Amino acid sequence: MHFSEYEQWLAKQAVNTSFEQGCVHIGPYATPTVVPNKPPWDFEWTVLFKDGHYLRVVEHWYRRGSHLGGGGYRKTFSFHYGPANPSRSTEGVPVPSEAYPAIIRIDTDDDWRGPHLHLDGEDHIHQSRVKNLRISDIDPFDFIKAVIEHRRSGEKFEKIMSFTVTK
Amino acid sequence: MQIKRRTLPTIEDVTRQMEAFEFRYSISTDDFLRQSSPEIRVNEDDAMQWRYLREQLSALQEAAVERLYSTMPKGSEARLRNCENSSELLAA
Repeated sequence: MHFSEYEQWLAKQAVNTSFEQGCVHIGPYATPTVVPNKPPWDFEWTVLFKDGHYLRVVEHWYRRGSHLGGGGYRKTFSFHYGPANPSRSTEGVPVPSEAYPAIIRIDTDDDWRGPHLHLDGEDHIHQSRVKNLRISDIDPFDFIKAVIEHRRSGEKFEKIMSFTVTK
Repeated sequence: MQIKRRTLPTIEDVTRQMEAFEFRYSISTDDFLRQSSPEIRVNEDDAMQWRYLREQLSALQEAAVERLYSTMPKGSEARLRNCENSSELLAA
């Protein structure tokens, strides 16, 4: 994908996403590294809710070789929802802390862990234990919509996103 | 919701941010790379961000070299592009 296509896709998705009253938004930011609009690029959006919870989505798109068509591919991401640490970065983003564990966090990093979930206090639930959800394919707006639905209905994320975690 | 864009980073910005991570964790670049082992506990967000900074740095350096090539006469550019190491570059 090329940055301009990605930016258009984001704009379309963002227009169809509405949050409850009183949220504070940091972002959404989508920024390429090199002009004109060249990869790598990132996407970041933090939403602080009035009840002390927050969501944060981050994607990192890396350069794809020109023999593969150029542009970028999503290599890593983290989607986080849970109570916010009162300690904030200079920008106002809650600082990650084990004292404020995620209600749900979906991660794919380029390390030994591979795609995994953090869910209701359990860390590093690997893909092999997660049924009906391909972790590496989740898009940020599916996650954001799930958070909005969870906050509206109180339903568990497994039900909203139709996945199960095996023991 | 409008998608916004941050200021584009420079090589200096990215280097400074990487150094800040390394300073905060008191570990070297090599150790940051090796945090792919469970013994070294780097916050997952920080590890992901640090790797992304490394990718940005590489892209910015390549772009800087391309900009330099674009200012050179064709012959010099071709000679430099064919160099495989710093000794060859200095000789060229």
